[in-house]
Amino acid sequence: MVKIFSISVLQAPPSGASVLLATANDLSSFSFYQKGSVGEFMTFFSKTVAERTPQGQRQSVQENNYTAHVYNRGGSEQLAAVIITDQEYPVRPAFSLLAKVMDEFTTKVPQAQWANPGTIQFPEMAGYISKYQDPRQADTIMRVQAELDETKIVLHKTIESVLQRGERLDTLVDRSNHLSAQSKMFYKTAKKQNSCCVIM
Amino acid sequence: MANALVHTLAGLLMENPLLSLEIVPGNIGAYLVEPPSPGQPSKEFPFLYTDGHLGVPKKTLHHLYPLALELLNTESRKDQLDASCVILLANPAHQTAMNTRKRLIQSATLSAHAELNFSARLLPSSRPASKESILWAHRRWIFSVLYPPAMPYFEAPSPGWVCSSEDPEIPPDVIEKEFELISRCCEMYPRNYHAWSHYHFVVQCIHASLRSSHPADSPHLPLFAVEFLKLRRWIESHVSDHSAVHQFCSIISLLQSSDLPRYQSVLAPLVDGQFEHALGLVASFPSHESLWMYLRAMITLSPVNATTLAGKAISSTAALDGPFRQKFVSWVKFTEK
Amino acid sequence: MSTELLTALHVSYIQNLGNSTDDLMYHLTAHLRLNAIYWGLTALCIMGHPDALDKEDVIRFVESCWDEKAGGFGAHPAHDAHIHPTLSAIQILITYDALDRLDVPRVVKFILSLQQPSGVFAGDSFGEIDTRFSYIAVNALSLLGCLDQLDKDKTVEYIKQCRNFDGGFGSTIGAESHAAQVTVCVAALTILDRLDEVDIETLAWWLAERQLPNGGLNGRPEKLEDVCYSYWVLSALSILDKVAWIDSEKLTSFILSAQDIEKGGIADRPGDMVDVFHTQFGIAGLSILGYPGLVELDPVYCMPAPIIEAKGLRKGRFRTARND
Repeated sequence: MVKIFSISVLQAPPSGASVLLATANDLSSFSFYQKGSVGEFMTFFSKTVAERTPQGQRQSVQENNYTAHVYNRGGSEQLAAVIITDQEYPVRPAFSLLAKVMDEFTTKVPQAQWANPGTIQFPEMAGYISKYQDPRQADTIMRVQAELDETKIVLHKTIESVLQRGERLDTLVDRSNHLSAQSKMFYKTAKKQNSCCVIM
Repeated sequence: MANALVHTLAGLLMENPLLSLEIVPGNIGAYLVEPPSPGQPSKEFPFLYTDGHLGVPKKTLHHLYPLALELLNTESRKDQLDASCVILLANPAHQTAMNTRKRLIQSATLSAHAELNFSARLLPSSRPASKESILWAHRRWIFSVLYPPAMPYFEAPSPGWVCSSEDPEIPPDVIEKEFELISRCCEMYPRNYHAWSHYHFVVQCIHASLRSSHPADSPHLPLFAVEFLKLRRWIESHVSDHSAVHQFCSIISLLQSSDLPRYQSVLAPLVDGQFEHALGLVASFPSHESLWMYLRAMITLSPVNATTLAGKAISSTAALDGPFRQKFVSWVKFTEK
Repeated sequence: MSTELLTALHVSYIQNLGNSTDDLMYHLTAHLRLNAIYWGLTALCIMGHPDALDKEDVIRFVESCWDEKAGGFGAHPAHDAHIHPTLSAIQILITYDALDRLDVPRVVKFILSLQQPSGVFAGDSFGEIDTRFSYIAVNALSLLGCLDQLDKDKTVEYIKQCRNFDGGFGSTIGAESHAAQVTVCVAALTILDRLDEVDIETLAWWLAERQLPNGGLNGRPEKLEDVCYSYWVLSALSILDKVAWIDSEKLTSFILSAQDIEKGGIADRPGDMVDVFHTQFGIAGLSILGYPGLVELDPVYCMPAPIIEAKGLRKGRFRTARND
């Protein structure tokens, strides 16, 4: 499926925790009892990769069937954005969308408000996640941003490869205060599903 | 006591209104709330049941499985019925449990309509269930019980199609729900072979209804046209689903065969522009083999223009160099031999 | 990761499969038990250890799966008869040269009763149809020397209609081409001496495209590589005499990399859990590729070639002068 699950804008200082400023999810493809946990993991995944992307860099990080595309624009605003898609969503439209979302965000939401993320109103985000489910919609913004150099995007086949030395995903999940006990259990059992093909 | 839980779970699966059914990880202990409160899961009711959504903890289900196996072999039909619900939720490939349910329908213990509902809950309950061939075959068996065949035997109208005396005449509203069920199962397990084969069966039923003695405004006709366009959109948003591509191309070959002359004015325009559609998708998603296969099929299915189309495809994809384009070019050379 | 076939480990892995009859996995896979014994036994024969299981125990288990009412075998005692475990029972009894333990006329009657008006076979009396059931019927009747009782033209007629525009075959008319379905259709046509119904070049092209850059084979476009297709794709290519169209060396290392180097057995892919199905089909694939030290596998019947040879059933290019 070509699918966007989540788009987030974050403030990501060079060290320390990132702060989620605005986010939108489309979890319609998940089952009733999974939705809550998946939502928590989208945020966890977004923050984790944003915090481990150096300023000015673009990265795509695969984990299971998901890919997090992250652009840490840095600068004085220390703004980053993450879009989580399935593996079929093409890379170029994802990064075009990230740049557009950050531009729009800085225009619509004054920096003074960022310290109080609870007060931020950015309803456009929900519109983006629904419109750009079809990546061909991004063709027009791609033409405007012709300067995007795809060869500079770093691709990581697992999240482990963006983690610092000594860090492990299992441990990060275990220690996280933002994940409920139930979500941690879903995580442990959602290890790779063996799609065995016994047909005869 | 434990057997009572088999019956409780079977009751939930068969009788209560259910919006969704899923197997959740772990034991009921992980879902208990403190303090215990009515309506919440408890040791006596170790299931999650909120707003019509049922979640069965996996360990609880596995605990009930051997008990259900024993109940299946008893004389009581009620025990057999309840046991088979639990067995199939835990192990959707259990042929004997499935057959037991067919025998219960034949002996009028179980209604075929109720079974159609149960099976529609079971199929999207887990990935193994959604792709299990015996569950899909079971639905076709129920349809044959519920709806008498549409027509006498015809010969094959086009390669990959057949109209046979075995195709039941299914009402359009039931067919619509069937397509929804197939979509859910194909989202759950991508490139779901048996779900897509079942899709072919459903289209074949529509086709059989159109071939039989309906008036020109058969309700199956708009349904067919709508589903054709839905499938086209599915391919655009599921770019690695070769099973969908195969079914789409298969319907195109049926429409090309002019097997339904009465409906040509509605059906003929549907097949226009598919080569360009395939070419456009390949350009947007060049790393997807399915779409290259779609392009190949559009060439193969136009025997008159095959060489021209192949040449056009090669020149207009020249900028997309990659392993699949190379494979495509070799394939063109191979077919021209 | 190993670069050699760990025969001794695989033999003990298969021997130990029957020792855990109490655990949940045993119950959850009971509907495949008889098939699993055939897979295990065939793998042992190909590795040159045909006596690794207790023959009499196995035969008694086969007999306990007999469904007296239907006249066929279920996959497990108290399971309904089905054409697939019935073939497994026949294959096991033939491997052990114990066909005298089988009521051949009743089994033949059961199998023939499953042919539908369209020519395809059903799995049981409730009528799930599939070309793999057609193959099973043809294979079983051939092994029992009763092929003359089959309506061959009708059987071929259905299989023929399952051929798709890509040259492959599907499970039913209109179903997508699938490597395992290709093999069952091609093998059934081979047994019936009707390989002329296959567009050999187009089909071999499609089969050869199943090889992925890592050397493994998949069963259809966009699927992951999987060890079991080492058998499904290879056996068809072998029947069509086109094994050279894939890279054997890369495939061999892919199969070997999916071995469990501690406990034995082969998985679908490196790092996954092993099972007897993938163990058998990995070893079967290696045998077709001519891996040293393995007994030859007959790709049409998926049984040790010497057994098929002794019955005079070798087909096509596998037929030796002695059989003619």
